[in-house]
Amino acid sequence: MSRTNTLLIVLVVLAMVMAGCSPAATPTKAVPTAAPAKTLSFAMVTDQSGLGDQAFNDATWSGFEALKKDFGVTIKVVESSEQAQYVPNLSTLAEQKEDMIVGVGFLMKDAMNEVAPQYPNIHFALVDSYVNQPNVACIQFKENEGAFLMGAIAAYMSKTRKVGFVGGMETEVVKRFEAGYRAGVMTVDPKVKVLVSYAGAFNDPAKGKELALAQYHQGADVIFQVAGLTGTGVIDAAKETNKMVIGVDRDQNYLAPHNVISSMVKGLGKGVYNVGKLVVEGKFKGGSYRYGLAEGGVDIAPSTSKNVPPDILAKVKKIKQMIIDGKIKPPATLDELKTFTPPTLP
Amino acid sequence: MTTAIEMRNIVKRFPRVLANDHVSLTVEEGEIHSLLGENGAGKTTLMNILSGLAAPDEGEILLHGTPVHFRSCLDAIKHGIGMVHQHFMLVPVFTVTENIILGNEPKRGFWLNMKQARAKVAELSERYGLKVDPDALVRDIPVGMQQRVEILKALSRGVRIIILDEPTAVLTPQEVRELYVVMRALREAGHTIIFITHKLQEVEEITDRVTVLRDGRVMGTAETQDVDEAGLARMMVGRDVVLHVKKEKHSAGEVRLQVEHLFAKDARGLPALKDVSLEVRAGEIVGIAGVAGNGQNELVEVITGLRNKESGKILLGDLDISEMTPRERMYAGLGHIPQDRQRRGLVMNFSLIDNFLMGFEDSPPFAKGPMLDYAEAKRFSRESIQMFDVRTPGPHVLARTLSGGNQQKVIIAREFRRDPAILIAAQPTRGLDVAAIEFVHEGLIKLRAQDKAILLISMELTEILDLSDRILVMYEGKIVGSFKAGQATPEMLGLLMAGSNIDQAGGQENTPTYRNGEEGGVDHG
Amino acid sequence: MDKSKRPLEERRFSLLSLVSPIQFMLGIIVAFIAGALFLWAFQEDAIRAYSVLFKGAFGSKRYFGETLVSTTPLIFTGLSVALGFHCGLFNMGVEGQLEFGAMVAAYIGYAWNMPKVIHLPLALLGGAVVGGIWGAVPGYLKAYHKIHEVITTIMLNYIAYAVADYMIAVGGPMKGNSDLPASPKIMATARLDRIWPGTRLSAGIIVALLMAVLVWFFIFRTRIGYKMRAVGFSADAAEYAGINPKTMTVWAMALSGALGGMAGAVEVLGVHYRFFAAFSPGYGWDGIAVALLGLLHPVGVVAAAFLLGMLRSGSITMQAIAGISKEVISILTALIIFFSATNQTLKPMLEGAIRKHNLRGDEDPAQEKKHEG
Repeated sequence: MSRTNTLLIVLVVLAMVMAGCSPAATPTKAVPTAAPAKTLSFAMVTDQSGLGDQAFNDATWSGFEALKKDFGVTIKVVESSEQAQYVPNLSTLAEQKEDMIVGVGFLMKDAMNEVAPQYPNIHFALVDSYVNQPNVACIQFKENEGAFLMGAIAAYMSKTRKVGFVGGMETEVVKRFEAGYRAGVMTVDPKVKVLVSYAGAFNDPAKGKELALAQYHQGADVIFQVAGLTGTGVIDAAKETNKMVIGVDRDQNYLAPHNVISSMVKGLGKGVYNVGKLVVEGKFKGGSYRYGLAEGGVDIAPSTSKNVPPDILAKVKKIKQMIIDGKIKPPATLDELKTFTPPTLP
Repeated sequence: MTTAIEMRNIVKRFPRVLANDHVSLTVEEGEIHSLLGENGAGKTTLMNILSGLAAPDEGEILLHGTPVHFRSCLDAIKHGIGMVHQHFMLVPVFTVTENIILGNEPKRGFWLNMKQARAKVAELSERYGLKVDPDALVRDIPVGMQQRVEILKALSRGVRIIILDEPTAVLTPQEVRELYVVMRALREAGHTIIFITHKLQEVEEITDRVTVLRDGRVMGTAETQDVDEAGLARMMVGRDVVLHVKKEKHSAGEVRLQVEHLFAKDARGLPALKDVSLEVRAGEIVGIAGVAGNGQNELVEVITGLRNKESGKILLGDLDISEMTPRERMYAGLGHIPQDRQRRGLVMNFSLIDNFLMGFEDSPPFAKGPMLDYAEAKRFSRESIQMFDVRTPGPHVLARTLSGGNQQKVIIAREFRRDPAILIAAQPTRGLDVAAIEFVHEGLIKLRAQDKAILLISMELTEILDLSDRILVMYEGKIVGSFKAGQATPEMLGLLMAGSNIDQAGGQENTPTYRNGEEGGVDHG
Repeated sequence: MDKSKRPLEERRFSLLSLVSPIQFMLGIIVAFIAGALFLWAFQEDAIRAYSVLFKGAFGSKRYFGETLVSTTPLIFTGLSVALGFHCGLFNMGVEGQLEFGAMVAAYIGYAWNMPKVIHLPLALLGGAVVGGIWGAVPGYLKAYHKIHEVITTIMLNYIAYAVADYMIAVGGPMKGNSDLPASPKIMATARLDRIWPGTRLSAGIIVALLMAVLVWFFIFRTRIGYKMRAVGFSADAAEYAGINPKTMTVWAMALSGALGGMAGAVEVLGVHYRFFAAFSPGYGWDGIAVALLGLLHPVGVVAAAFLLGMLRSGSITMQAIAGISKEVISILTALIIFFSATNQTLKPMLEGAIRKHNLRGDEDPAQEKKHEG
């Protein structure tokens, strides 16, 4: 141990020397943060995509901006350029005693598990994944509820009475989509067949296209894709064969205005806003927070009205209200799907 | 005669050297004026100033009595002064004519007037006896012709004062003769020539007057006919110099190196050695004369193991080393002073200590297990530096900071200290000045006295003639002549080197084929 | 050696030997000034930015620990590149070697079960050996088929990335049970101990410093190191002296690769405890900058790695506290590295100054001139 200490001393001295040589050598002086006392400060750590990804990170950040507007909190973001930075980014912010630190994306699970226990007094939030830590609010979504509506739209729109589902990886979240989707189809018309394929990756558009073409070939005319970047291949296939496709996470209509008939959008900003509000109100608690249709956590994309006839859309909106009212409980796992009995629609 | 150029009190400083220290030089119109001095004496610097390549720190230049300042080479050329550098500045893929007109092209509208250009080249070539092939690509013509192209290029721009920087260094004896003819023709036509050299014999032969430089200062100017070689050497070096080393009679012993029917290819895959056989005995220096590029380099590389042979055999005494690695040959007693000291002989970015170690690093006392004993290496380096009078601030300096002569001393020290039974010395004095040449020659003679076998390869005929007990001539990968010391004249060797048969040249007695040990023969094949 | 007994000429060398450290420091100072000008040009407060940078690198135990955590792999990759350079080889494949080292160390770490005294060294060694083999391939191609190592090493990086992705993709042989595209966690017996409580700093830094000493010793004091340097400076001269440049090329690339492999192994065994997708944040590429900045000397490499480690950890606080955008920070770091590398141009100036100083002293100027030639 003593040798280690000597080494450290040498390195510290080296550091001092270097600091001394710099034109701005005030390493020990405390730097005042921009926020005056008592103003809360919220920080977000992005995954590798960073801000400007038009997806997860941007959506979460919109929640931050809303918090700033409504409660006057200071907000800041630290962008990770690589996975190895998750831990230092989270812990640097924890050292700063931020009032809430949000990690975006399920890849940050390991890092959250490492950092959160070291700063038990700091409030953390993790988007789209779950860790069992008392000071981490895990923001997750009732994807099954949104997917249920997508299933309904698919079943109403299908003329071949065959619809498809293309998933990225077989993760818990994607399975939740599948269960909800299939239940939605079944509710509208139990005789409509659902074809299911998984690409095994979120970043393989070629594979996505291949699977989608196969399903269209087998007679499906609507496919719901839950496959990240892989899903762009699915949309491609729809465009090529002039079939229908349903997008995910955000309104993907612009990718193929005539083929993307709807999208299931995730209210990431809404979720973060809700947890942030709890912090502001002093009611923060760790654990799982699930947001569904009722909380605006998941929803139907506005562009749906462009391709889906008003009568169908009206029916789907009725189903949505039934879910919000608790009259329909979309299954969240494939096991629950087995015992799911389709309700009768009005 | 009128004064063409007068340079007065020229001073030029480089970061650590005073290259020209108040140098004054007067060159008369229409003379061949030699600038003589050792390497680093400041000759080239002075001429770079005269040709506009460098600006002097102090002093002035008068051209026909008028002060001038040249801002560039082009400026100097406009004033009629041009320089032919040691390293030619020609475009290899252009023809002779294209090179000559480059930068001074006759135009017809937008287009080059090639017809006019060719006529001009032909006319100049004719007038001064500068034989060139106007349509050949420069890369295909011999060095001597490239030099003529450079001279023609200067003449075509109306240059009246031509500076030739060590023009003979790259030429064969025949080409040197031809150059002399050209120089005389130019003088007849009223041109002035400044001739930079460090070879005394050339000064005596061709020049009218000579100015000697040493350490950046003028040692004196004289009419060439009033001074002899020894006197010039003394002015150059500052002491008496042995110009032609004297060697004791020494009888050759048993055969140490035997090369039998060696065939090998050069780097381009063309045959470079065609059935070469030779032998070198203990206490004997065998010299190989020849124009560069006739297989000498390949011969040395094959013997030392740096190049693969096609067939043939190499014996060290009774030991067949044909298939050995370079290191094994070294251990078997083969020493080698390589012709390219900066590429092969030394690692220029190594300290002298590391350079002295080369080849010794795996042997005691330097190798200690997987480690090197640097204390021992340092001691060895100090010793060698002292024994061989290497001028250096210490053993830690990088080899590249030493002068050429001192670099060569490091190599010679290392190879001599290997105590080889056979030493291959390839161009051991190339680019060295008089004092350093003297040192190398004495060293080789000393080895001979110690009964070592020495194979000397050199482009310098005088060196071959001075040192060798036997002389072989190489031409196009073959040994085409063999002489005992004293039998050969420079003329005979020169002709063989150029590929002529001796009987055409002057009726030497000859025997049909050359064999080992038989002297005085010429190969007719 | 007793200083008083050293001849005069030797003493001058102790002065000249200061050239490299001064060069290094001056380069950094110039770099930081250039960085400040850049920040001002972008309307950022440079003084504040730098103070935040230093705070983020040294301001707390945790921060300083992070600086050292980033320094550790950079020491390995810097040594790797420097070792190659000494044999005249430009190893651009450290990234790939690092990926393989990390993969193998992770595999040994989670799949095998044995006591720590064997497990940890074996995982480290496994990473080094496989990294070394991955490095020896371009070495062999260079030596025996004259294919330039810059091309082959870069190509091999892409293969390594692809293999790594496959290993931890769904259904891949190293994929763990969790949702994460990552291998299982390695066992406690394969982990490098954390040596500074409250930080993530592991014993990897000790291994790194030890390797720096070993590499110095290897390059400058062993026979094979000597031969490699000879080949690096002049393969022709080395060949003339009976050294086989081909053998040396293969060995140098293998050893360089082994150091790259160790970088990956130490990251797995000391920091992340598992192998995951897009594993290296460019440590292999940074190794090139570290080696050049460190003037190819192991001591310089350690110092340069520390500088880059500092920039890495300090840049996080620059984002978090000073609110400077990630892109501006990236440009700033790149500028600092770039200008630090200009230290190469300072060498002739410094040497000239020292010589001038010596000329004014007791040395005979004539002696100086002769040696210049």
